[in-house]
Amino acid sequence: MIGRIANMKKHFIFTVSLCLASAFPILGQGHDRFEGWCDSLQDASPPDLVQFLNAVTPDETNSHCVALAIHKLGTARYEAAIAPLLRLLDFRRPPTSQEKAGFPDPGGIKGVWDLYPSVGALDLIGKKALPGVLSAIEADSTSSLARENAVAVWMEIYRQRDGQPKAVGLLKQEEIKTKDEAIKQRLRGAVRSALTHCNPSEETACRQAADGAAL
Amino acid sequence: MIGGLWMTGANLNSSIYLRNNVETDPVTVTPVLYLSNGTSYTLPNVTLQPAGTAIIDINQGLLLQGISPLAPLSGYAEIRYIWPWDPFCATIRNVDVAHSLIFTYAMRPSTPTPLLMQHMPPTAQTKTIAGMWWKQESNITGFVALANISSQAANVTVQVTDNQANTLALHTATVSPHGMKFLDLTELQSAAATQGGIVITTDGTTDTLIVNGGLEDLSRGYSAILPFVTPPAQPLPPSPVSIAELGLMAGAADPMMLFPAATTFTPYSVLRNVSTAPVSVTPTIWWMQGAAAQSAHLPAIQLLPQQTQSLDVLSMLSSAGLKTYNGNFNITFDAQAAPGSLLLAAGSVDQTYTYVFEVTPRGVAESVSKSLQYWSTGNGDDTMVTVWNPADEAQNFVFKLFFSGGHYTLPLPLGPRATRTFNISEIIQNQVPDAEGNTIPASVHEGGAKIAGSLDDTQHILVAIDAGTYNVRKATCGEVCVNCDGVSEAMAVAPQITVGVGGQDQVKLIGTYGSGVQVDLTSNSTWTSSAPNVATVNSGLVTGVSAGSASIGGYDPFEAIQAGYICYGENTQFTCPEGVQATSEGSILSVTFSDIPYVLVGQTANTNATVEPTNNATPISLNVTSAAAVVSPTGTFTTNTGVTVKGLTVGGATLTATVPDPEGGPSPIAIGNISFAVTSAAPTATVTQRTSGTVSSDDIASSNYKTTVGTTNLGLIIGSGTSTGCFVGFETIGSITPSTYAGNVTLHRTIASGATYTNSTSTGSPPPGTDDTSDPHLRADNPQSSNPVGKVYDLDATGPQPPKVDGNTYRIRTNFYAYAALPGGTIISSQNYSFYVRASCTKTASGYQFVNDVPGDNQIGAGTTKTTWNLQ
Repeated sequence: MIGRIANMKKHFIFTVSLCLASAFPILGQGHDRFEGWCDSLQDASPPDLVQFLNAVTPDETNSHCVALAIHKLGTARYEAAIAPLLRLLDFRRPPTSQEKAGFPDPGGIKGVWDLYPSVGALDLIGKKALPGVLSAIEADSTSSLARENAVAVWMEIYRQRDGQPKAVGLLKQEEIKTKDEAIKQRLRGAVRSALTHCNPSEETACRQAADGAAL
Repeated sequence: MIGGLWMTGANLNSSIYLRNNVETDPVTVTPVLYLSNGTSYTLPNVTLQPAGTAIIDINQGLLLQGISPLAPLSGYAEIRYIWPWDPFCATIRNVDVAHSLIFTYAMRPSTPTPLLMQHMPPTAQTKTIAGMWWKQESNITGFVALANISSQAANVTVQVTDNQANTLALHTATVSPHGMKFLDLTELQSAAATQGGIVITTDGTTDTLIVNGGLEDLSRGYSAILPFVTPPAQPLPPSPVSIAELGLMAGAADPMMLFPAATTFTPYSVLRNVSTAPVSVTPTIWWMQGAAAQSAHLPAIQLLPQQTQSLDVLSMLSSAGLKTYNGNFNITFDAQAAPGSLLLAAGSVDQTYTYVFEVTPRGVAESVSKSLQYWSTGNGDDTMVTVWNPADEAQNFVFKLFFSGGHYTLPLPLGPRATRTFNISEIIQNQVPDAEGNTIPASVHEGGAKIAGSLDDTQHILVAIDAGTYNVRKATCGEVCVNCDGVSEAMAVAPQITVGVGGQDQVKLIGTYGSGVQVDLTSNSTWTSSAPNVATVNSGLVTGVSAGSASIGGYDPFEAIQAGYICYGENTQFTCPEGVQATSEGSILSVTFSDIPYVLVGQTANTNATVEPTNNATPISLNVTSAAAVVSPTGTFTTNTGVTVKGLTVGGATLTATVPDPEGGPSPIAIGNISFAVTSAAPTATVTQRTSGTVSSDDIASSNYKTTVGTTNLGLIIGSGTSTGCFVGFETIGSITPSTYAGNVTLHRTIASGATYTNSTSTGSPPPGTDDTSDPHLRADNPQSSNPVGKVYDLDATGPQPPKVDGNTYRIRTNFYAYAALPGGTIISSQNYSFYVRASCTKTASGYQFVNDVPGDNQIGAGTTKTTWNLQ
């Protein structure tokens, strides 16, 4: 065959078959509320879970699998999952059967880290997620909910390690540093949001950091 | 490199022609001649300059060994050198000037599979080689030489068939180790058929059997090379293939070539299907009319299995409207054929059968540059080059000539599908300076050459090229070997990776062209890990996932590979190969320490360091932060080891296992750690609880509690954060002694009993013993984070969360107990703190409301509660 010179590209497509999980845990049958949520991913390796998340657009038919995949990657502290987790920051998991019935699951009240599983997963991955989290805060393409959740991740990672005032101060520094007015605006909003995450014992220091005090 | 067929005698002169494809370094070779009886003779070393050529006179070499070159001898040759890849294009040229015969045979790489770096599955050993013969006049006969390069004798049969696969003769031969057998195919002379097949079968493998052959008529000075191919052991699926025969000549000879007057040429083309399936081949004739390329598509030719067909090329030309055509033209054959299923031979022969211009069928496919082994313009020689641009777009090529002491670059722009034919002597005679101001001195008569894209040698181009060195006076024409340039050596850098779990290391795929140029193929490559559960790889960046070993492979499917094998006919696809791969071996090391609950100051504690993988050989070191010291081991270790640490001062300590950076970096790589507390006394905890007021100001989980339920109040609250409902908030406190204890302490909570109801109807009961410990987001486990130090916290709020406004009352009754434990599970609270929560809630249009229809409901307190709906 004679033809034009062209570099061919192979497209590697990875698919994971989904099952529509319909089995829900019964109250008190263990702390892992994701048991039985998605049989096809129960034994999947972290790389397979990442490929699944990279390819998926969450909807009602796959939300149990998405939630389970995120949960497993967070528990494994799998750093290669940071990118898809950031993309799914505004993904809200479906309710459990206990929640549908109006009663709490074991493990205490459910915060943003639980309702939006990517938040919890990124919290567990820790500091290595921070550059991506900052990019998500700055990006125009990030939804307001995802940005709010990104701020929650940012603050939680610092809460566990260096303290929340430092987290606020670093956001403020990014706001000052950037020359892009749109990004500056988004960071300004993130600083305001970050202040709501500060513990009473650190509120004063957080406010000072938000005002641009030296770290 | 090894192979070829050399023949000496009173009229036969044999020479090894070498071109050094390396353009950066000289390479020294040691030629070794093997006689047909297996005896070997080592000839003096020859050094080839970068891109240089050399001719080794075999007759002279034998003479130096005390062997008369006048004796009719034959054998094969080997050239030995120290270089990471096969750097030469090597051929053996046998010339019988007295009879105007010339036979040129290529040498092949020494290794059975020359493309070790190619991304190919191992192929099964084959035992059959297929060949083809034809004769254009009745006096033509043939020969086959079988060289056994192994150390085991090989029993070989040679079956000669006619064009319908009927046997004409069957020859058998036992070829001694490193020996050669020469078989005369005299049956060709008497055969009624004018074309047919040759099937060679060995009881060894075809990897170690080198087959060469020829057709000749001494009386007329006719000589041609017999083509052979090794079909794959298992038939491969058909794929599109396009093969070009370039520079065929029809009609009166070009006067510039100085042939005797009235010399006319007739083109020939012979095809054989050596597969077991029919193959349809569609020919197209291409020629130039002025500066424009013309073509004529001809009807398809059906080739049955094992069928040989000599085409009537003149009739084909006539069909194309070129009945009286004088000049050069090309034929392409398009087919859907399995690799290794077609054999082709082509050329042009004059009316006396003395001048035979053979052309090598070339695959039409993308490549980088291609090298021509040798050109000559001395002693009556000239080298004719035909270049065809098969693309439907113009391309700018450059034709680079290399010679002793210099090089010359000829720009060669070719329009769509255009062909250009030229003699090297023209370029030398023209004396036109190239872009660098170079010309070829008139004294230069030989060298090598290359065709490439105008950008550089690595530019992907679509080009077909053929060349032949002819000598009108001697009536000889020898084909010029064409090499596919490309990557000769590929390596993964670093070849050894050692990272810890979660650690990363960058691997690069570096290819080295035969010319010596290095290219970074990392970003173009597809990367795979043999064990993704051990290590993942993305664009060459390896991340450790779990302890173990993994091979990290990079594969660039479109990078060209250097291949000399298109010279010797073993190229079943006729095209330059692509696809470079290399692998790197990765070890993901991990050291897991058994729990150290704490260490008392001045005391020791033991932990077991478990090393994975168990076959680790990398020395592992230990270091610990200043609050403690490692007592043993005193040196490094490689396998599971008991470790003793000693407490020095009160505080937190981290014991870390490291290995040296395999790339020599200054920072060791951490492959595991454990944190523990060094304490003045064994820690104990007293558990209490707050159920009113607000969250303690030094509880660092306060903000998470607030964002979840919307308030920092404890006791009865209506949740208005991310969780909504009727909640009972509580803060469990663990007071740690000594307060200086620097390790984490977790407050656990267990459901002792409980029940849920809708109105008075039970909706379930948690099994006793259900763990209800809060998420870490709601805990403050570090007693050094409180003010004053010495307290850990656990926040939670529990209660019904009616899903909708339905008039129902949702109730929970739960008994809990709480206790304090170290991370490893050691309980340090002397007694459990038992408490209960009971609450009833409904959802109205205005929100959640506690329901007080049961006396004593909506409370939290120490002790236990009845779990009936009405608390009775």
